[in-house]
Amino acid sequence: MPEIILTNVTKRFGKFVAVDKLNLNIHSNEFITLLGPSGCGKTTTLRMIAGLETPTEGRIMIDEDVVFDADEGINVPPNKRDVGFLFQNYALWPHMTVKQNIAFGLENLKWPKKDIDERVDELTLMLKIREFLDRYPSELSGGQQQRVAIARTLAPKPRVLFMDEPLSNLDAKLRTDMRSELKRLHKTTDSTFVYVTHDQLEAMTLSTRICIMELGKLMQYAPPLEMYQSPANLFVADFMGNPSMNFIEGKAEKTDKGVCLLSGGVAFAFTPSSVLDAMPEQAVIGIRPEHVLISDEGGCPAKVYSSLPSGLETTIRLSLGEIMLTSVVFGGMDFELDSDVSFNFVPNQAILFDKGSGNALARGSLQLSK
Amino acid sequence: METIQRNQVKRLGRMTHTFLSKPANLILVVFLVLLTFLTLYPLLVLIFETFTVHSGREARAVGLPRGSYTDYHFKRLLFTLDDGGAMGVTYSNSWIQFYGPLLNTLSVAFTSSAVAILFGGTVAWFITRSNLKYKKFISGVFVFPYIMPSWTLALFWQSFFKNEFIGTGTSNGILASVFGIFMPEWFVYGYFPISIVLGLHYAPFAYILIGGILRNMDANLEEAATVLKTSRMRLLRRITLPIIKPAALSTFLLVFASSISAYSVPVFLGSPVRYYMLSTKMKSLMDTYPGQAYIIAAVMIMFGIVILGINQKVTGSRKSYTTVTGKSSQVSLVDLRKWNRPVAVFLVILMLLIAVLPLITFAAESVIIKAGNYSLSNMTLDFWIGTNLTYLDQGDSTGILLSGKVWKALFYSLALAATCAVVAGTCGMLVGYAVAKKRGTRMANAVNSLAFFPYLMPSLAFGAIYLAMSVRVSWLNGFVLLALIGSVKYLPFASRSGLNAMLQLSGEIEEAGQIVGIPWWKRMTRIIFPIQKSSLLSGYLLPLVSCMRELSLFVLLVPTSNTLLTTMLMQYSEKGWAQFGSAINLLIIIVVLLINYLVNKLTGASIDKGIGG
Repeated sequence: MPEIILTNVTKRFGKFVAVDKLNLNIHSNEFITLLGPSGCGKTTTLRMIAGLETPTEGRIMIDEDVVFDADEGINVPPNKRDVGFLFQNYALWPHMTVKQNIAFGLENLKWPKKDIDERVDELTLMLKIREFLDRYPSELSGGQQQRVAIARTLAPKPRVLFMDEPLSNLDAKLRTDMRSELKRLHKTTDSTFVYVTHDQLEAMTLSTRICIMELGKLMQYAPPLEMYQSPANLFVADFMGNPSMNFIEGKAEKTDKGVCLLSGGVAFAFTPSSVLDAMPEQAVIGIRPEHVLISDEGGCPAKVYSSLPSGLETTIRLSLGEIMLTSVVFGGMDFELDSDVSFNFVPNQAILFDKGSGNALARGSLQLSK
Repeated sequence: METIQRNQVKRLGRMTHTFLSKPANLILVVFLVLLTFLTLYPLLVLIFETFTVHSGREARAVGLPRGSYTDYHFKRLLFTLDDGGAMGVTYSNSWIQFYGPLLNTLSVAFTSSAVAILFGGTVAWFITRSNLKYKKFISGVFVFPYIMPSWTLALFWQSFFKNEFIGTGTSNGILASVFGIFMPEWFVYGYFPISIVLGLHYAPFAYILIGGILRNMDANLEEAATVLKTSRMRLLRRITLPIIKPAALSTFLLVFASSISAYSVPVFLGSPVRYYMLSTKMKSLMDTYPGQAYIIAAVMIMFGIVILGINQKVTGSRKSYTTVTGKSSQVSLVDLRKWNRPVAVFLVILMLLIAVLPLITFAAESVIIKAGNYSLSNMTLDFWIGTNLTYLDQGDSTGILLSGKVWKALFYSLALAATCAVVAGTCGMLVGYAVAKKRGTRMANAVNSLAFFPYLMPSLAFGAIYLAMSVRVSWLNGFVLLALIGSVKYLPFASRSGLNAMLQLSGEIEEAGQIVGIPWWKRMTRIIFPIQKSSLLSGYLLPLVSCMRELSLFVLLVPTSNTLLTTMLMQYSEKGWAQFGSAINLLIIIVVLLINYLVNKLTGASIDKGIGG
């Protein structure tokens, strides 16, 4: 089973650097997601591994074969890399039926007709598109087209499957259904999946590890829950989670307990649970909305700025002097605007970041300074 | 050290191999070399010829042996402003042979471009943005003036309006003999009719290009202004016109370049009254003082280069290729109300005059025995199907449909047109594919410009250069020479329609095939071509139709005047065999219209898509 190794892979378009010295290691049978905002280089990276784009520098290996090496001048064409690619717009051939679309690649590999028919049957059954075999792509719905595209990609049994935002063209409900289908597909086909998306929820729910990128650079590469609970820097902390993490920014001062942060006229005390080596000048403390607990009494006072109940959870914005905090309360509760509430921070869930570099420095507990 | 060198070589070898294994790169490299040779080398030959002495009258005039270097041609053509005179009249060779025709050419080019844009653009607006009646007929017939040879309208104009008081004054045309109306000379020959006829011939360009933009224009743009209570006139001036400006400019440049190199129309409508343009001057100088003829050719090509440069600058950076998205926004049509019927009827009549009346005229001309007499007693089908026509003291002894040499010319013309179409069309598709795939790179831009260049070279000048080249290269003659020049000349449109077709296709369609290992040729034939069939085939149709009706490109290169139908026609016209000439003219037009119709019906290809609408 393949292991994909990227070493110092860089892609430049003229002066613009799309991917900057990317080092990545993908183990076999993983479900890796390349995640990030538009323009971060994730699709470019995907296409480089597949061979549809040529890196400017670096080295790519798939399963101990060097498929690209800038210094050696090696560049194996995509059809020889034994990979599958699912395009964002499916790229189904409009003048061929579903059956012809799926079978085309296999015919080209000179599979015997019997085997081709068997494989088409197997796939269309698995993806529930059996009854559409003689239809043309324009006669199918978006979801059906998508499944035909998946079938076509899986037909030649590629060792790695690349997917470029395949769910972005589907409506919200269908997207959720297809996510679980894809996760099951990963298990049944026993392949390595590399997936590109800008939707952090998709990345969280599907992947074994997420590779989050910004402006061509790797920001963090970790399993979803680890990335959620222990983001490596401000960008990752902000990108993951919905609603986003609360950030309190200000000048930091060392105290005997830990750090004191002054922000918007409010003083916060941060007590690190691990050793804090460096002391930042400007610091940011982050705490997730679900760790801002609304309690009836015995906490810090705040006013409700807005309340958005969704049935499953209610998102509340609290105003504390000049500071705004977001809190999430589970269950169907609603709060009156401008009402007074009191809140507490869950211990050991705050993270201290250095504003300059953006790096996470330590984890700890947050309290309001009296 | 040696190992490092060897590794470097190996690396270079591998990189070159990877580079050339991508079909797009290979195509670009091949065409870069090929086009440079076929367009730039002839240019060099031409420039060389402007400094060389040719045999015959020229050698005697210069006083130097053939083949020697001289700047005589330049001096004589461009700088001889006073040749002395007689009876108080100053005679200037340069003015007569060059500057006069140059002035005529420029004024005709400007006027015809204006006519084309005004006429074509206006009709385009009516068809795409209003609820005009009879749209189908008007838009269907509108392309005719372009499909028919340009001299069709010229000959029609002449046959219709000529009379014995003007020009060479030999006979009366239809208007004079049937209606007794005698038009003045300035109306029938010279600047006015040449500009009108060329403008009408190229109006379909404007119609297709401007209509293309208008058709895809989002109605919301105009609606937003309407909601803000903008008057219709203001809307047209401040919103619609600025939007079509790029297409209008492009059309202007194309028509301008085409008008400069037009030959057949000035020959029929200018020469009888000695109104010369650069093209007709060049042809006449070719026989006597080739050196000066080549200079004129060079000047015409220079115009083409400048125009190409301007066009690239204006459109190059902001290329907007309207991709068919399938989501067509609502297009609200302007209600013409009481103007609808009058305008529609006017346009229908106009189209009938331009497209159908010429055919009737030629038919009439081809069946009358004595010129000017359009009574039934004077009519005969002899010129078509007669045999043993010895009572005529002109022409052949058989009607054209029974004449062996006419059929021979027809088949030769068809074979030539088919060859040019296949070569130009295929090359155009390949170039379009490669340029689309590698767009933005220097090589793609170079090939794209080079591929368009032949269009801007005046056909006659192009022919002159290839003639000069054929003297040097032994195998370059006959059918091969004609097919080569025809293919190169029509490559521009083929590559433009190829490029447009490829740009409409998302790259992922091909990549999906690449990933599963479909080889390049299979991707082209089984995926790309079938999807964009009608656009790509249009790249074949335009050369096919254009070659069938092409005169000026081939006139210098044919072995005899009887080789092609068009050269045959010119020969007959020059000899004054009006009836045979008209019959052959009608034959050519019918063949061309038939081909266009058949290809359109069978494949969906059309001239529209060929020009880039």
